[in-house]
Amino acid sequence: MLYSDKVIDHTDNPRNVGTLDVNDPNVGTGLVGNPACGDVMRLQIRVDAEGRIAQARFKTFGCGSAIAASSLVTEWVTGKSLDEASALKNTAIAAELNLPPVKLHCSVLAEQAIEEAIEDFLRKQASLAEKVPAK
Amino acid sequence: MRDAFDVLGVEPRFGLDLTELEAHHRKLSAELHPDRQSASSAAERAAKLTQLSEVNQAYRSLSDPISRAEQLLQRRGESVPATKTAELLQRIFEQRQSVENAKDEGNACRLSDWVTAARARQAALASELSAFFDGEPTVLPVPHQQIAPVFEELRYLKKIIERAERALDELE
Amino acid sequence: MNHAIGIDLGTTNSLVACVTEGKPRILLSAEGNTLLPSVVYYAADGRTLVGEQAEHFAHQQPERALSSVKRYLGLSAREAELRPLTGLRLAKPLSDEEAKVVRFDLGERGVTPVEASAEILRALAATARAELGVLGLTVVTVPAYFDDAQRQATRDAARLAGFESVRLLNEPTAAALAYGLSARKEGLFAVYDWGGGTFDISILRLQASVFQVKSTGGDTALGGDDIDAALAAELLTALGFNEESLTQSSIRCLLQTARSLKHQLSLQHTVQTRLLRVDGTAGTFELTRGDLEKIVQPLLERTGRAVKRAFRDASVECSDLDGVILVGGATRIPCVIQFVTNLFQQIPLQGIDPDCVVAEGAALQADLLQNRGGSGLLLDVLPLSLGIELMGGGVERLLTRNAPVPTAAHGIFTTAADNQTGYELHVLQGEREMARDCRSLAKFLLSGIPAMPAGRARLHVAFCIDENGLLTVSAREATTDITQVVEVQPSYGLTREQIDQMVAQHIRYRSEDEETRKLAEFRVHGAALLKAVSSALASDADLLTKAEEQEITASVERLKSGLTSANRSLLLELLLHELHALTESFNERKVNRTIVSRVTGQTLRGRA
Repeated sequence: MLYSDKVIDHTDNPRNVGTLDVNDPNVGTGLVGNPACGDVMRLQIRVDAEGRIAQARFKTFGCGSAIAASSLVTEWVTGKSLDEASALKNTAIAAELNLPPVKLHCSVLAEQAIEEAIEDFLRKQASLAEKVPAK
Repeated sequence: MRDAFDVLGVEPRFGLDLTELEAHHRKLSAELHPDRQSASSAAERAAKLTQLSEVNQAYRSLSDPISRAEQLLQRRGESVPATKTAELLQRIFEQRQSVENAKDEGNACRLSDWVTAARARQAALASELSAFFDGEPTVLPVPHQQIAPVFEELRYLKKIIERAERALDELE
Repeated sequence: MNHAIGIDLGTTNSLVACVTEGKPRILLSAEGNTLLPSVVYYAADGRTLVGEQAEHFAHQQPERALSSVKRYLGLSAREAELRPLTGLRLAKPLSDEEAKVVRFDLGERGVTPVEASAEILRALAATARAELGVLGLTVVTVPAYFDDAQRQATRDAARLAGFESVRLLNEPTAAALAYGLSARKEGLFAVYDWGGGTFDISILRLQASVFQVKSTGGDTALGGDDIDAALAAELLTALGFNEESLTQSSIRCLLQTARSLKHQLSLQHTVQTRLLRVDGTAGTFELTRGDLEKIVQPLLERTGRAVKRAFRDASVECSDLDGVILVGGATRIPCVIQFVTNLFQQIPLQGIDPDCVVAEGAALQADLLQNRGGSGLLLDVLPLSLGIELMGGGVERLLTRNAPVPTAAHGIFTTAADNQTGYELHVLQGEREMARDCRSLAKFLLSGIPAMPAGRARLHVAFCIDENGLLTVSAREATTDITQVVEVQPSYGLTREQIDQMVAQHIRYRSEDEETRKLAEFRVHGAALLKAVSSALASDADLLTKAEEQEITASVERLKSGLTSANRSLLLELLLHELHALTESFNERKVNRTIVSRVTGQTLRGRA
């Protein structure tokens, strides 16, 4: 599939749209926004016992490129370890020669969301650890 | 460096009389419009056309409360403070959700009600900006904590209202 | 002194006007009418007739005539297919190149709406020249809601028609000009313009001779023609016919019947007509004003929605209005006037004939621009938003509708992928979210981006609109400063070269000598035929039925009138043809009678 086809496919059929339980201790939630274009994006990850991202879900309200970017991200992210996900860049996606432009900040919105989701998960884990009495 | 207020020749306030603004725009446009330049040379006409474009851009800029406020900040040598309020994001997220639901259900009534409420909120936020910019002379630097969230919310609201109104248009 | 003129190029009727002693007046056609029906009749060799003359022969040979072509200006072949019942045969494009422009199928060739419109403009120019002499600045009106492609097509038609100095003017603004300047009013006005093919709503402020457009809106596919089509559809159902089973000429006939019924119902409360049912029996159908209202109501609702949107865009309410101006034939329908009165909460202004008001405004504007250094002024706005396509198929709007022009706007963008070497820029017009739902204006590439991670590059895109609404787009890659500047030519299809070609072809069709020769030839034929028919009528009229005699007499009158006044060989040729066809059987009967009278009572020698 050409890159542009892939992105249009993700816009028309976004994968992994939805919600994970925010209260689940294994779920990290990242909520980011770009006021300039009014986009808000929520990305959630469920991490398994091995520290891999078993599930990723997102909900975006915003321009098509943000939707496509987040859909691609969740696909790419599922099955990766936290470190790998953290190193997310667009390198995985093959470059076409001529592509339509992207709004500033929209391109990084997905990355920011991932960072926040991971941080949220780690924060939750840390506060849980505090509650467990030391043995 | 001329800004929109200078170009249109209006007092740099947030609370502008829109009818007066329109009159300024009309007067300047009449002076600069190519249809009124039959006596000028081609070079003069071209120069006036550029100026007219500036006048129109300035008018557009001052007609929108958000860009008007940005221009006022710029005059003070300040830029719009960046901020990121988790609570606001959550609220905006939920509002977007409810607009999308109303749109998907074809519920024009609910969309319309939401737009009315959102506009009221916009007006309230605009009065905050007005109080800040046009109120008693401020000697202190911009209290970022105070107006940053106002800007942020106004921007998000503008986009959601646009979305909702477009949905209403399509539903009709 | 060259005379400035204003032209209303309408869907159903067109007019030309000039200003004399400060007052606008409509110039009369050769037939002595203000309205020139926007109908063009094509002979196989390319000669044409326009107006009532064309209408007359269109009746007999509908496949050779084109009407309401304005609705097709600026459209591609695919877009044209989506229009409702019009009875026009569209040519099937044989290539992608051909599909860029819609063409009407005349049998031996296809004709574009631009060419057909040029014929109408030429006819109007001839009317104007006959009375005024050399023509100066010409203002041609277009619906305010016409997009770039439609405006460009109108300009192309004017160029093809030989106009050198043309300015376009929005129809509602022209109407407001006609009312504003002549009545010396100031204030906020709404112009409700409902013509044959389009609906336009504009909110304008007039102050100190300056018109400021606050907002425009409308529907380029909603007009009186749609009322005719809806009424015709009702008749079809009542008659038991299936739309697909009808010939093109039957559809045209039916539409004409529908239109005539519609007009009558503005003057009467009920109207009757006799029509043939699908089973061949004739039936009388009665239509009331109420029936028409039921048909018109949903169309009126659509205009109401456009009006509300225009109010919103202008941030005004009906109580802010100082007047509502009605333009266009459809606004004569009683239920339309009622609807408008309710919608705007005031009685609309109707002092000027709604059919003439736009042409008068256009003439005023032409006069102002050419002779008075424009003491009146129009501050126009962008009718539709402009933007570019983003990665993912969305649209980033750089200029929103109703922004005063000339103006400019810019945006900064970046790359989607690592090491991306170029941008594909797609310029769009429209209000929808996704690029595929908007109108494509131009596509171009900007290459040469240095290798960088995604999101690092900076692309500056600037939109610049001049006072005519023409868009120039410039894109600059910030690191290398590589820039591409594109003047947006709408991608509807006719290129400069194609127009030049059409101009050349037209010159070939219209060789002056050829025309003079043909005209002389037909005059001689015509005189001879008249003599023969008159003498036959004098001696053998009893061979004809009353109806036949009436038809022939009417045709004789037309030919007589044509012989004295016609200056187009095609007209004479067709009139001759008509009389020949009508008298063919008469001739046969006459010959029979002569033979019979000769042989009766005689024996045929040499035969048993």
